[in-house]
Amino acid sequence: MLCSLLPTSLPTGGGMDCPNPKRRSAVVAGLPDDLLADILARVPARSLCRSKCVAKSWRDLIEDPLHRKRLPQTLHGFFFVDEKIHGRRRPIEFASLQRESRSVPLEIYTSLSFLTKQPGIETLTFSDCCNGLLLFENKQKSRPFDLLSYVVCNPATEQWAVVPRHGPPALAHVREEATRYNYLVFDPSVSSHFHLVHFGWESKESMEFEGGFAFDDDDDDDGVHLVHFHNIEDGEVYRTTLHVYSSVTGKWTRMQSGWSQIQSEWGWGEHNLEGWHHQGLVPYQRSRCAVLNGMLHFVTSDHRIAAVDVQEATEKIIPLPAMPEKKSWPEPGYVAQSQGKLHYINKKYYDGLFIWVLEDYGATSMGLEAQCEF
Amino acid sequence: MEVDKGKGEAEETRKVAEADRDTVTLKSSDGKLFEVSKEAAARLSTVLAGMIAGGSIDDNGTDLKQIGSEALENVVDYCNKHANSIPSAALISSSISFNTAPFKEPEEWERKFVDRLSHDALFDLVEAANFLGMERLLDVTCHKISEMMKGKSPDQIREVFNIKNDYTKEELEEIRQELAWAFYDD
Repeated sequence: MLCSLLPTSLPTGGGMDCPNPKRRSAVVAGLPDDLLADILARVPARSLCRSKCVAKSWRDLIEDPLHRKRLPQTLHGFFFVDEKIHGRRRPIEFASLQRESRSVPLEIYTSLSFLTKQPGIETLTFSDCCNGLLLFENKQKSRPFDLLSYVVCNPATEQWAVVPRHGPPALAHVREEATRYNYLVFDPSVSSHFHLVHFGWESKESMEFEGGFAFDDDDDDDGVHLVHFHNIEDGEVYRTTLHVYSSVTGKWTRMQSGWSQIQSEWGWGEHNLEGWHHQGLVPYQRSRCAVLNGMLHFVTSDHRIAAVDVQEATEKIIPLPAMPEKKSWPEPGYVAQSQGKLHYINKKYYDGLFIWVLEDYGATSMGLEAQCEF
Repeated sequence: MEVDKGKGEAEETRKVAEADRDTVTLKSSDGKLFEVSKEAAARLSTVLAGMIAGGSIDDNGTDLKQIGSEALENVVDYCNKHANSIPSAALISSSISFNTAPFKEPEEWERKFVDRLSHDALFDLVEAANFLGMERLLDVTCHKISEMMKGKSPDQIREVFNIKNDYTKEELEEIRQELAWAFYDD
């Protein structure tokens, strides 16, 4: 009783110094947090989820980042899609990195058979994944470019949710696929809710256009939005837009942004987001994003890391570290989250990798953490 | 190895062979004495190993104030059974892979060992194992308790763990909805 009432968020919660040698009226209520976490680490994800409803102290313990690492819904492994397999229905695979199976091993239903039989699900195309959740585009079987909806699922628990597409379907002649790019944002240590971040890429009629940027957005009814115009060819103007879906509200919201305040040093013009958006839409860049502190991070084409807060539409730019070899990067690398820190990984010119880490999230530069040779 | 004494009736014989004893005497919170093989104790419990190495073992009974006699008896019983039934070579040879020994499923005898325990005795034992740093016994007992939770509703889990529901109806409804994020498909 005594112990479980201690706030589990204390940095050194639990432990075996629990001062309750004599008791046993409230059997497990008195278990030290560490011990309870030890037990919970061995139950399947479903039971763990249910256990949050047992008592507040249990919920706090299960959600405490200190213990979360050990609890079963933390997958030790990663999902991947074999790029060598062509076709729209590449199988999702899961590579387990679980060295010791102290917890009950999770069965990962990568065949998605629990999903594909559901009514309304037609062709699922993998789009993104984040902390154990997978994002698919659900498309018409007969017209594979027609997006019906998005599907988010947890292949370990067989839980799934449908997210409606936002806006009307694209015109029939538009290959819509090339005009959207989605990120899934899910951090189970913060919330069991998820967000979808959608970058749209729309063509507009030729219009008066200066400096590659404008705020005007004439076909909208709800104010000023993040709208960037990009002059692709003479007379043809493209723009990118940012929409965020929240599983809390069940709604898509068009995000405003202060990106225009960001100055570029890279000579793409004062407002350099075209490159950023462009980058996001290049297919081979897919999944190169990292979720940390509720922010979505990814590498832009102008060699920086952009971070956007999906809830408050605040942004941050982190410059990429300089290459120790004093050469420019061969191509943009990867951002990744590990142990609560942002990492940047890039190839060396020859064999090997550089791995950088942003030790302090408030800092603006990353330090070199490791060099690996192959 | 030949230790199978259990309860503390060996008061006189203890002092005789103090120098080369191969057992240690442990004293429960309620004052009962138990003998256990020194080798097994040191191998299975990091806390006892530390005490043995540090010379803080009391030959008249090392006080373990946190552990009741029933739990301590089970601990000692487990140590003795372990010493007798596990080929020690297997454990020793695997000690090279420091700290990454894979968790093995409980052995048949370990399963039986925890299966015969009463509910309270099991929970007492898991705490004792935790206190004494007995990783293997902790594995076995935690495994058993986790099995008791599988497929159970929150209500049933509360019953197993003897926990009071401190959510209000509204709070419970809210958290249920939150957890059901993936279930609102219609």
